[in-house]
Amino acid sequence: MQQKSEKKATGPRRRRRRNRLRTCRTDERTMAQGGISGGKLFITAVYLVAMCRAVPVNDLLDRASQRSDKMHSLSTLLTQDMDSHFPPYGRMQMPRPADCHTSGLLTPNDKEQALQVSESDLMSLARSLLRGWVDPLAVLSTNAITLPHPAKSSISSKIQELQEHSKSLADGLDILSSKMGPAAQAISILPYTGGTDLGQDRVTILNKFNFLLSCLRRDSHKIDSFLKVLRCRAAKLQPELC
Amino acid sequence: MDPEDVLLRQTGPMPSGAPKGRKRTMLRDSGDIGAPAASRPQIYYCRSPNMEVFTCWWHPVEQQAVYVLTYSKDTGPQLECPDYTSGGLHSCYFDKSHTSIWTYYCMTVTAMTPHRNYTSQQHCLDVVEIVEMEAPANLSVSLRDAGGDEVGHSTLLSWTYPAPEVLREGWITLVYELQYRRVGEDDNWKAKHPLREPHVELFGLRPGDYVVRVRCRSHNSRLWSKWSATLLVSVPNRLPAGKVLVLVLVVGVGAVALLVIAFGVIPQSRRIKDYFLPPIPKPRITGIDPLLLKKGNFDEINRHFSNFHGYRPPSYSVELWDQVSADGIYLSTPRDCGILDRDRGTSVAIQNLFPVQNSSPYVCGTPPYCAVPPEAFAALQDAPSPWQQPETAFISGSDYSTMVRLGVPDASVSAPDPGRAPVQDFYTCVQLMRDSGEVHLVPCLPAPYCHDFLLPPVPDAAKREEEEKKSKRLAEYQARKNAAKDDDDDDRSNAADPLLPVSPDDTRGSEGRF
Repeated sequence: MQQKSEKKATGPRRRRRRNRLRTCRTDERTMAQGGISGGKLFITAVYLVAMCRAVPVNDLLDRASQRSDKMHSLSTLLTQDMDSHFPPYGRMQMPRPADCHTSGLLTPNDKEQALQVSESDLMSLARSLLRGWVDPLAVLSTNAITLPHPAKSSISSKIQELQEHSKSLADGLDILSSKMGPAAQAISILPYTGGTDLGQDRVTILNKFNFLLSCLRRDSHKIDSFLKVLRCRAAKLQPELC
Repeated sequence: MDPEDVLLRQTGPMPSGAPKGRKRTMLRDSGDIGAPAASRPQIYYCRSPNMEVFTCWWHPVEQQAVYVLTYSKDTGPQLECPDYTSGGLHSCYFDKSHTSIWTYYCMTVTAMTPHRNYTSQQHCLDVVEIVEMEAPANLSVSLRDAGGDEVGHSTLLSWTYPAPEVLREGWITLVYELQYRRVGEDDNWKAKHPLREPHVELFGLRPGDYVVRVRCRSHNSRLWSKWSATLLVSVPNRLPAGKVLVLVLVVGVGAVALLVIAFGVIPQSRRIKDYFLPPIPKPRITGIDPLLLKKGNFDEINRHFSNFHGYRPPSYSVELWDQVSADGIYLSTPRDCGILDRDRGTSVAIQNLFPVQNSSPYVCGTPPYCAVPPEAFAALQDAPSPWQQPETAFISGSDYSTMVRLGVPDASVSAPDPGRAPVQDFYTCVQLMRDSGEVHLVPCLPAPYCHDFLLPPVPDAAKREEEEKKSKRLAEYQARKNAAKDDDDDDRSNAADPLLPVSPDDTRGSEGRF
């Protein structure tokens, strides 16, 4: 049985999930040690299969979309933090999408297009975007500590949280994509070429920071939207999720 | 594209005209610079209700003008507004075909008057940033009985979204916020947030009037919808119907139970008690009403008891004393006499009464004490027996014994008349007799029982020889016992001693030891 890595969820669901999967693994180990008689072994096997395999895709998708929602709200808060103290000049409102390093990825542009994309492709797009932001987030994280901004500690902690969420979401999406076929496994590489240094003077640094945050906000919104569409499609039996 | 280039490019003609009223930069645009800001049109509000379409509104200029809105998507060509009417006056409505998500719209409005054109500032947006949902509708309340441990009512509030079709595919996911306050406390709003379902249940609301309102928001948008219409909720005072029923039921059952106990159980309490806890039966004698024994009806008792062997009703009027002849009685120590009581204490007491060293004569009968027929007595005339009642015998070892004080025996008294009908008394056989006149009486048995253990009459000489042997052995034993007694004062087995060495030799084949 394949190992399931943990996906961090909010609150008590995390513990429940971890406990359940931990129980699965320990039970497997106990069974492997062979200290159980034949009849008991059969019953234990049936129980294990029922318990461990019964993690539904719906549940995983729900948790993934919750995670992406959290990511997007974090990036929005980051932008607000930046705006609260930013000097009133030279501030750019919104970067053109073509300027972000992830612009090379072709994503649907409206609802009809998004609904026509297959689930595997949607999953692949989400995973590609997520993968493409690993490096820039690291750059942002290292630069946030020395950011010439009054709220840099709050910004720094939020960026770290973003990194964690991004990592756990990527792991969860890996698991999900393995259930969805080879098309979902394909990832487009979106390299970040901005370098680790954001600039020399204060304005440049802040501008670049803002620019990256805006790109991140857009991309996290994309990921969130794709996952919500996926969740709704998978949850045909549970209309309350849509 | 290199972000540096982006920066350089955007710090140029890039406007910052956000509808939130941030400080604008002074920009060069194609419009008239010198015109005052009030006379230029201004795009002030753009909104998308479902992330598929959006509308923008602008403020008009004072003069009569024709408005043209031009926009560009990302770096594309300039396009004109597709629809000027659907959104109302001075608006531009972008339908589905003209709306793209995650693309950058930059638009300007130009007011064309006969004299000159007034162009607004450029307004740029991404559609996802302007998503603002409709306000929820159909806010309704239903009061229910709060189940479980809750007392009072639970208030179920529910509402609907006016355009539920946008939620169907998951493109938009809503989160709700509900606020409520008591009527009269205008600013003390309490909020329930976030709510994922279009309903919520409130517990513990104090009776009174409340004002409730709700709003919603797309999950990944920052903008809340407008508040729904407020709803007035009245939480009643009285208990819900279910609880009233339970209360009535409990009180009714309690009252009925009380009545049953007061009028049914208590008067019959004695009978009920006897039914559940039957009294322990007292010892009964078959054929005799126990009430007789209580009341002391002696005639009836005597009649019943006369069936018993040897029972003589106690006659309290006359005391009958039988003459006892003290001639020819055997002198021996009380050890010869089978001390009846096995109970050591009593025998010790008896022993104390009859001190060992005292050589006062004792009258003993050899056990078992049985009535010897008068013929035997006749043979033993010169050795008069101390038997008092020829026809009776008494059993040694029984617990019935009394001490009776007799008068000084008359030496000339002869043996009792054998033919005399004896008065049937319980304690009518003598076992011991002191010279002071005290006699140890034991119950006697009638003659028929005597045959079982009647000793064969022995000749005088043999009997006397036996007695001599017996006394000798007894003396030896007593000497031994005295020696032992010095060592062990607590040894109470002395009491049993009279029974041990003497009687097995004596009673030949008789099982009369009880």
